Amino acid sequence: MKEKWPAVLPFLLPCLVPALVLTAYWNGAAWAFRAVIWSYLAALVLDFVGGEDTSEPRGDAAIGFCRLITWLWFPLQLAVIVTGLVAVTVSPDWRTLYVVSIAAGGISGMFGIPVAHELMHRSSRLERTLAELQMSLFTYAHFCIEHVEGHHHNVGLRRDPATARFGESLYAFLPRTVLGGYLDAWRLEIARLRAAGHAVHGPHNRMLRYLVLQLVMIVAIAAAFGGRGVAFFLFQSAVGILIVEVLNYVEHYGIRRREHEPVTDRHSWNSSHRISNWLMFNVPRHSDHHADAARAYPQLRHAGADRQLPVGYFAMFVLALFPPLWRSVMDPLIAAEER
Amino acid sequence: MSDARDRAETRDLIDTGVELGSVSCGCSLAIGLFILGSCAGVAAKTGTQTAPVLEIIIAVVSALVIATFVYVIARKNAKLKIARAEIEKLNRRAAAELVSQDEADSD
Repeated sequence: MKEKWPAVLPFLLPCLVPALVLTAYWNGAAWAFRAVIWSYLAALVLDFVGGEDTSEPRGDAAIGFCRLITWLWFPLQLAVIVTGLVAVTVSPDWRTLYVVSIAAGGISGMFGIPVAHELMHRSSRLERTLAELQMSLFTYAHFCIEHVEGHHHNVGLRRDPATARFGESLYAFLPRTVLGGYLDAWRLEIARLRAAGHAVHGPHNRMLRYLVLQLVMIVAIAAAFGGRGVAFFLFQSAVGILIVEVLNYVEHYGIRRREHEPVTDRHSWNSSHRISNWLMFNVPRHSDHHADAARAYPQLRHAGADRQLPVGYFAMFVLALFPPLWRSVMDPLIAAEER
Repeated sequence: MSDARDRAETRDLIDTGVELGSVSCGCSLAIGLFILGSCAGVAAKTGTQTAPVLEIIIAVVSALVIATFVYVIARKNAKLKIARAEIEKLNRRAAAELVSQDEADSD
């Protein structure tokens, strides 16, 4: 059966956010970057009224088009960062720096990460390079190693830094996952280099390559845009990283898996909310992604009634920021699922 | 049989509750945001510059209001999902019992 075009067209929706910001800014609209914050709020509201989509994918006729959308993201995200650098340099106001950084980091984290995540799981060299470049735009390129080679093997295990433990607040999880993820990426890369017979301190080391690339980017920004440019770049990176890790927190909170137990539908939290899935390239169909990471995003299947979040991902992000509210919703749900 | 029908009806009722709760939360949030947006629009039109402190207060209050709305509806939905899971479990148990009873009868 062929995938009907209207079924995949909504995946173009997230591209509208950076496109709107770029068009508005270069036409002199002062509200350009604030539009990202309003877009998030609109997505949050629409998620409640958009309902759930439990339909299964139908064929793969539109896969080429869906891949093309993911290739479009790197130039779009790069254009947003460059526009942000220009915006903070021409305006001396600290509020501009604050708003533009949150908006650019929001685009990278909320909409760009699902794309980079999709690309890093592809077998094509070009797509994996695009993922690395996209993650470098918010100084988090090592995520490509840790996520694919670490998290996917260790999900639900205590040693996985990207799996939030039962009762762990977002604020306790954040330092553990950021630091643990970085160290894990180094450990994995050293093991890979040794297995392949390459030198650790050599050009084959991806972690060193990422480090050099990110340092060169920061130096170039400092030379071209000065201190405010560097401040913007680092602040928007922090926002992007925060969003990535909140996403990890929501996806696997309280999940426990025994050593050698196969990864199943029960090891991720899913959301069938239509808008969340459209805007995040089906990342909320997370169980099926863990079942087969090579499956392209339009082909991810609905996970069934188990491990379904009570509201969409956008709303769960808000709850995660308030640990008592989060635990009051999630802990009884986990207890009931494990009974 | 009547038990199974009751459970099916309860499940339908739960699904309707989840849907209605979600829609009403979305509508309330939308109205709130629309009011906020209108105020911001009027302020921009009249050229009134909001004081930074006031802007921070408005942002914090908006965040708290949104979090409360989301919490109320998420908690309600979570409770309904737990109830639905219980019903599914009872259904499965009843079906298994029915099968084992049929097997015993045929023996």
